[in-house]
Amino acid sequence: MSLVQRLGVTGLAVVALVTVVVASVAVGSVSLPVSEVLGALSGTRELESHLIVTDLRIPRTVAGLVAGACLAVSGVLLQGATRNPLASPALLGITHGGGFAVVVAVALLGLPPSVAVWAAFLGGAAAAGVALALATSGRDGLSPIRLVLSGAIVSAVLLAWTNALLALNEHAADDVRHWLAGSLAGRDAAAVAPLLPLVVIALAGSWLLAGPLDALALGDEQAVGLGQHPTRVRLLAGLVAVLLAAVAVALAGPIAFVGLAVPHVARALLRSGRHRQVLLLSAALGPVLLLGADIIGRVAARPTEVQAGVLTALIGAPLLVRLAVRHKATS
Amino acid sequence: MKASPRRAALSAIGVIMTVAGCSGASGGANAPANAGGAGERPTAVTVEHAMGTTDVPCAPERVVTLGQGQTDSVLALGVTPVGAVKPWTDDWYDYLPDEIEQVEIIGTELEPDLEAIAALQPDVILGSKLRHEALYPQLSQIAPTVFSETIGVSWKDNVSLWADALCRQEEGQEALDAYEQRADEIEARLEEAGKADTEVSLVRFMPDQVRIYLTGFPGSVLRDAGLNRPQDQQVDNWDESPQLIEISEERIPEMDGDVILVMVSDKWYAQTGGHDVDETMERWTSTDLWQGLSAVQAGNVHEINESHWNLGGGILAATTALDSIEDLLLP
Repeated sequence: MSLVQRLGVTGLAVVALVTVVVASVAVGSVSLPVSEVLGALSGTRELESHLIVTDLRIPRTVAGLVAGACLAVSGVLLQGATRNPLASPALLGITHGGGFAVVVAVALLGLPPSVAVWAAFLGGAAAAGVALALATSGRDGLSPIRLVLSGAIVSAVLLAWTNALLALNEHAADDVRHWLAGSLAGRDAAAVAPLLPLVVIALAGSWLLAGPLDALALGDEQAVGLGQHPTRVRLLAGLVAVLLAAVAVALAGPIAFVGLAVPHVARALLRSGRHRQVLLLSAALGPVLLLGADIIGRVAARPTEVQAGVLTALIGAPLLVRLAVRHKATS
Repeated sequence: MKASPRRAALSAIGVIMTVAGCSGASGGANAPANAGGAGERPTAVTVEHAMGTTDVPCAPERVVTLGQGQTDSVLALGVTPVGAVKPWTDDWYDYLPDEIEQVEIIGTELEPDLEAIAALQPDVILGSKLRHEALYPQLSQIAPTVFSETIGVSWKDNVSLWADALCRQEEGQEALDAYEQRADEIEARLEEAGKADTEVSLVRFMPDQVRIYLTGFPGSVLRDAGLNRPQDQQVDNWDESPQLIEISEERIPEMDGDVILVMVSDKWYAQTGGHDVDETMERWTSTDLWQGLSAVQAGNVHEINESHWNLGGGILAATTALDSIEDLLLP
């Protein structure tokens, strides 16, 4: 792909990102005149519409930007580290592990919601660890199919535990039901700020891991020949990926398909698997998908809303099928 | 209660009473047959209801009620059911008379326990097509079974129906008359106090959704007391309108009125500020959007107990709800 084409793709992604951000502020459950939206952006807080924009739409837009980027980058890292096109936070059990840990921490142990991100990180890391251990336990090692199966098993078990906990403890269920839906509604902008340093560190780590992951893509022996330590790279990439997914889970609850689909879209658009480019493009497209789903959810069921998590699955699944079919046709 | 729009019972369900033993089809069968001497009851009634026509021998003593409204209204008619479905809350609603403690629980409104019902050897079973349509054939084998079309908004028609099925038509009429009289009295006193035009908003915060009640049981009580509703909560067609709407946070302004009545649970009363019930309420009411509502500014937000405002759904609940209107608006 020529430099011009690459710039074109990047330009389109930026335009798409700006469009959804603008739409996310301007469009919602209630229709507001543009002048009032602009008024709110300039800091006015007189009308109800100003409050709707400043207190409701901007926080969920910020949460969507961060969660979408985290999920997509997490997917890129996981797919690169496992050299498995189906790897993603949801398929490796990270999402459900995080969800289970948050239910235990917040609903059962009564810890403050601010610990949710750490609970999600520990739960996600533990779940991914178990899934990986299961996957590598066999004689044929870490084959893509084993990894996906192990992740599915771990996810299913954790989901069952989560549901069992909620069924046994109704009060706890009430507390986390909203959270478990996978939604950007009612996000507190203040909840995003303390997570930002983490996100910045994790994204910087991803950037540094891009080169080593490119080497890994050539095969372990080649990677060693290029001076890399495959195991160390995998471990680091896995940790960063879990951290990013945990931030997303803490911000928006379990959101499906963003982490799986976006890296594929990015690679298809770039016609390249170079990690640095894929990471950048994914970080832009993740929020496009998540915020896009959120905006549709806001207007699809007026006067109420559909959770973004439901819609990402609805949008993401056919997208992935299409990519898979095209991939087969061209390869 | 489900959020789906429910059609109100189309019209009062006609009842034909016949004297069992007389050949039912003879000339005067359509005329009420209890025109006889003082307090004399027919030996059986033929009740037309949502599932067809059912003969009930008079007067049934062992009554099983399959819904909250049935239990409530049957008690109001002076009969204590032998079996009733569990209340929606952990304990029986406070407003119900003490006799309720003698009633055996026979499953839940959504899943009545057929074996337990059969074991009670009832004379008549009272349910609703909305909830129990599929169970009708089995219930009919246990005892004569009478169903209302729906529940909630049609509660007054249902009181007449239950009265007919219990051969207590007069008691039914008396109870309804007493209710209407009480409602008229409150309406007159509101007018005297210059509060006849008060626009009352009716809302409920739940863990996973927030609702505005338009019609339904609680809406009908407000209407009977002659109170108005805010613009956004008025309906064009009372019988066809959805009973309630679920709203998103952006629509908080639609919750405004001269007075906002917030339905809360018994549990809420028991432990105000409790962690479990109202995370949602806390989140929504802490927004500047809510704080800016005129009713909030004027201090006209009142908690009302959902037991008699929403869950009970019978004539005792409606009367208790009228009492609470009096307490709140006519101090």
